[in-house]
Order: sequence, then C-alpha cells, then structure tokens
Amino acid sequence: MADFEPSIIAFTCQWCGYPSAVLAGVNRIEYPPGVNIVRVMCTGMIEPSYIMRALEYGADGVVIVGCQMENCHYTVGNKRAQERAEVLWPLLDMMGLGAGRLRTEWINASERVKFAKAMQEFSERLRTLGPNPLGAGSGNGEGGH
Amino acid sequence: MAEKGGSTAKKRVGVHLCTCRTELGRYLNMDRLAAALAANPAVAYVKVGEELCAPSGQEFLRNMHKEQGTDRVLVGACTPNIQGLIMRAALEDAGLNRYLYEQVNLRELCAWVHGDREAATDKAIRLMQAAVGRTLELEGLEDIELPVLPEALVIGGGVAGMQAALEIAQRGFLAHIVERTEALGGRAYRLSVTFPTHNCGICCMQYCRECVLTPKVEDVMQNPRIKVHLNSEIEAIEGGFGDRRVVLGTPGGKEELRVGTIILATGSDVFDASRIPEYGFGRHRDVVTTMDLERMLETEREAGGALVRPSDGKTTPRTVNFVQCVGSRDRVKGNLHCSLVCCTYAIGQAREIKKLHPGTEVFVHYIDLRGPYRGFEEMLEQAKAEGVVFVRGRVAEVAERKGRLHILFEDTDLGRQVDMPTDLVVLAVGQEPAKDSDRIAKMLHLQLDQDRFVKDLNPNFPDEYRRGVFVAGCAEGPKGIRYSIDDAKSAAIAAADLMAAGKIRKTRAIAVVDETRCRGCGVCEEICEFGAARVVEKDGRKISVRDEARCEGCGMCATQCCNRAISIKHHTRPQMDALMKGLLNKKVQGARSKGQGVDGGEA
Repeated sequence: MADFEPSIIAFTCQWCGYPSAVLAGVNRIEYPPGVNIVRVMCTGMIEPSYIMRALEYGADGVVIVGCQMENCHYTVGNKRAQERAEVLWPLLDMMGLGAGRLRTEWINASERVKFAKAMQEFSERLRTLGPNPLGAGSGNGEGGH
Repeated sequence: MAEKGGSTAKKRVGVHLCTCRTELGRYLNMDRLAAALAANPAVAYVKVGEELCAPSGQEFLRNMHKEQGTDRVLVGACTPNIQGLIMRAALEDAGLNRYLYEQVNLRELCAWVHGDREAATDKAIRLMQAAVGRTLELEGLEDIELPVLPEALVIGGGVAGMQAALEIAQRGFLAHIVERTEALGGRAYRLSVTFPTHNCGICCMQYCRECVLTPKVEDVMQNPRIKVHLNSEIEAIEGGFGDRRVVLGTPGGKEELRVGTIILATGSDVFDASRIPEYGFGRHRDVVTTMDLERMLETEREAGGALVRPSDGKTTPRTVNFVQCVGSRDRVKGNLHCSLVCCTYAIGQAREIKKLHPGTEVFVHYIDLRGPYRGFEEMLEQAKAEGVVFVRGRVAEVAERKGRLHILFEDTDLGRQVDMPTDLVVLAVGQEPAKDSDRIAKMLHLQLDQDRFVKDLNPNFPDEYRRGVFVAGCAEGPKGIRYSIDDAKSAAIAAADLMAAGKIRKTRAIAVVDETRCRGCGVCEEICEFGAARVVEKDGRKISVRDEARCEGCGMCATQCCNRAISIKHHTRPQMDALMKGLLNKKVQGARSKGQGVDGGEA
C-alpha cells in the first residue's frame, strides 16, 4: 500500500485540456506517472459510460479536463460534461466507489502549472482514498480477494 | 465492437518510435519499450528512428511504409498537433490512409514530466500498448470536401471592414459590407488628429503608413466588386463552412445573401463616461470625452475659430485637464483591460490644444503611459517640450464649487493631493466590446474572451478548423488604426485564399447516425449548437440526419442519445474502449520493472 500509485484516466479536450498537458511537458513540470491522458474532441463527448468503464477497468480515478466555462470551443460542451459529473457524483457514492474518484477541471490551454497541479492533487487525493475496490478484479486478472 | 474478433487477427500495426535525437532516450529506456512492443502479436514491426519529423526521418517513414505494407501505423514520438502532421503527411505520401495513423505523445506527456526513468518507461509501454489497441480499431476514411462560395460577407464598415472588403475585391471576389449606421468609415473617420502624422486622416498629404493605408470611403463605394448595405443589420446566419445563408434586415426589407466566407469587423464602442459619476460627465458641460473633443477640434478647424468651452460657447479654456484610463484598467467601475490607444490619442489632442492655444495650460493625469508604437516616445518627448504637463496619479473627483470647475487629484511624484480649478476636463475613454457583437458571435459560434471581445479562432490553426470565419479589427480587442488594418488584411487574405481554392477538406471525424437505432426523438436536434442535426421523415418514420458541412464532431449529440444511435467517426466507442482497456491493463508491462507501475494494488 505504501507504494500505491493511483492509476488515473485524464480525459482532455483537444482545445484546452490537451494543450495544457502538452505545455506542462514542454515546461518539464512533473506530475505522477499514473496519469494517462486520453484526448477527446470535447469534454462534451465523454459519455458517463466511459467514466464507469474506466472505473470498471480498474482506474483509481477519472479526471475531465476541458476549457474554462464560457470558453468551450463548441460553446457548451464543458457545461454538459460538468452537468454529467454532477449526476454521477452521488451515484458513485451510492455505489461505494466514492464521488472523489471523479474530478473535473476547467482550465485554459496555457495553464500548464494549473494542469500539473491538478494532476498532483488528484493523485494525492486518490492515495488517501485507496485503490479502486473494483480495480484488482478487472484489468489485471489477479483479483482473487 | 461487433466487427472485432476475426478481423483484428489479420490487422497488424507498424510501430515507429522516435528518439527525438537524444531527447526521449534520455528519459525513457527505449530498448525496453521497443522490446515490449515487439512482443505484442498485433505489432508487425517496431522501428526506432532518430528524428522522424526531419527530412531524413520522413524519407525513412515513406520507405518503411512502402516496404512493409501494413495498412495502419502507430508512431510514438512528440505532439501529434505539430510534428505529427508532418509525419502523417509523409506516410500519406506513401499511401497510408490518414485516418489509419495514430500517434502517442511520448515526449510531452511522458518523458518530460516524470522524473523516474523506469516508471516513465512503464508508462510509455502502457501508452503505446493501449494505442496499438486503438489503432487496430481505426477505420480508413476519406475527408469531406466542401465547396466554398466565391462571395464574402464583411460585418461592419469601419476601417477594418472597409480594408477587408477592398482586399477581397482586389483578389477578384465579391464582398458585401453590412453596416448598421448610415455611413461607412466607423470611428476612425470621426478623428481629427491621428498618430503619428498629427493631422486628420482625410486631407493630409504626408503619406504616412497610418493614414495612407486607411481605406477611403470613396474607393469602397466605387468598387464594382463591393456591395455596401447601409442601415442594415444581420438577422440570421445559417449554414456551415463554405456556404452560409445570411438574412439581412435592410431599409428595403429582408434580403438574403449566400457567402463562402465571413469577416467579423464590428469594431468597439467607447466607454460611457457617465458610468463613473465622480468625473461629472453629463453633469458639468465642461467635462467632455475625447470623442467630444475630436468633434470640437474639427469644428474649430473648419470654422477657423478657437477652441471654446461648451458651457458658454465662447471663452477659450485657460486650463485643460486630461484624465487617462477612464473605464480602462479599472475592474470596479469599468473594464479591466487596457485600451491601448488612449495614451497615444490623448497626447495628440493635448499637443493640438497647445498648438492652437500656446497660453493654455494642459495637464495629463495618468497611471502609466502606454504607447507600444514606433514613434510614441518621440511624440511624448515632443509633447513635454511643448509644455504639456504629465501628472502621475489617479483623479479622485471633478466637482463644481462657487461656479468654477475643480479637479481633485493625487500627484504621486510630489506625494500630495491637489485641488485645482480648471476650465475643461477631457476624459480619455477606453474601448469596450461593441453592443450586439456578442449576438453575431453567437450566430457564428465564436466565443468571447475574458473582456467580452470576440475571440478569433487561433490563426495558427489550419484553415479547416477555422470554419471560414475570421475576426478583424477592434471586434477582437482594442487596437489602433494601423493594427486594425493589418488585421483586416490578414483576415481578408485568408478568406480570399479559401475562396480561390473553391473547396476545403474537412475531417470526416463527425457524427453519424445509425438509422436502425434512431427513433427520431429530436434530442440531438435540440442540443446541437451548430444546427447540424435535423429530424426528417424517411420511409414513413422519423430519423435524425447530419449536415456534414455543419457538424463539428464535438460528440455532444452522441453522448446525449439515449439509443446510442449516434457515434463520432474516428472517436468511436470500440476505439475508446480499446484505449482505456490498454491504459488500465496492469499486467501487461514489458519485460521487467522494479515493482513500479505494476502497482500491486492490494500488496
């Protein structure tokens, strides 16, 4: 448990989330290697089932990174994503997974520090939350217990 | 997901890894990465190159692709948005379908952000293996080709709009200028002195860049390829990239245009000085804005008289105080942004007053002087030499006492409060977003920036992302005449290039509807921001269809559809599933690792 490295799926939109991650790279700002970036056109295209699937496959956390509100490349995609997250949070609690495993971040394409910081914080948060209870069973097939 | 299984066995992925000279090798164990990938049965070959985006690397990719004959390629290198486009183009040359190309950003998203080399290598393996899974699910597609009509709409007939229309006409296309007032020219034509010639823009013969480039109203009116619609408003804009239907409300009734490109040049408004009551604008007749002063100076020049105080219409002011940053750099009462032009024009006006009436004392109250233009410092020096006094500090109040106007200000250089009688106060009002520009921005699916100006899509994006819509001049933010004109030129050239090509290739990564699953409920039609979804009758039932020209591929309709009838090409559910499965597969790590990455959840 000491070396528990949370595995995270970070959905990033093509216009702000992904570029901010790229800029974090260009500026060599470190964040934990458990963060796996998945690029989507818009955070509005992230289906709740994607989030649930990621958790089912053993992700310890899912973070959605999109453009700042009022600044979506497609006008309201980020708003929709936020609305969906708000519906999912109580459900995640109800399922015993914990709302804390899903996080949303709305940032500008240039906000590399904010991006890296959000990843660090989320990873820390998940460390205290512990591994995804579904995690061991699914992805790696060694979920005996 | 259905077509998986059997077909994936045949599909194989060619994998290229780029060391980015030494950059990736320094942070990642490339040998371990390559070996892990080579062990994947779906991988046909793994080749490590040094610099795949360089000409030699491109040559290598082309040859390799011709030789090996895999139908899909995965590259592990840097960002797909920049160098990725080069590598993809090289492979396309060699016959690869561009939709069967996949790239993992090993550099920015992995090598450069993780300190531990082995942990980073573990992640690189995970990213690449997952991408192999997604690559197997990719589908070969063809771009959409859309016609671009040879007419342009220019919204706004100010300096930027006129310049844009002239440039477009010069390149052989018809430009429609839609102007809501009764005359072309915008605010620039109401200025009596412009920087740097210090003359009016209309009759001076100095041939300075600033003014000579100012489009002449006459040129526009006489150009056979420019149609001017005065007193007209945009009522609606429909359609998509390359072909938009525009409804105008004109004095003669509704008119309809069909255009291929649109330039939004709606300009800016000046700040309403009465929003800061302490300055007394609207209460005292001798408190005027800089725009009022322009009119006073022009009247004076034409009538040959003297500058007079508005309160009595005859006496020349002996003391004039300019107040800078009225409504600018003031989050509480005005706008946070700097209007960029006020320092320059106010100094010009101060000098003009000094020139006409050397005996008049002129003070300029400023926070700091900002004039990022060539020649500004020289003009400032000249103004000081001519006797204009610059006072650093905020003005607290303008008030009338015993029939005399007083200005109360702080002089921070002297460190004291001053109460000075004055004859005329000129408020240097800033620029703010034009009323109604947000309405037009919405029609064109453009966002507003933090100061509510219209945000142009990044001009560095390839044309196919920019939808044939461009923003020019002050609509995009405060600008001087010169910069508005430059802006209009570059927008017009981009628009003309599109129209000259006559067509645009647009990505096929857009929504498709599975008609067997669609019930025609219309939710997608309701939520689509671009008007791309429409429910129609087909074979006796309702189904939703997509307009390829309008669909942007954002995927909101796909997510909202309760029947899963909609999917986004190139971002399909099986592709997403394969990717996530790979990313979260904790078992598959290549060769060894020291317990990192196989994070032993339950240890």
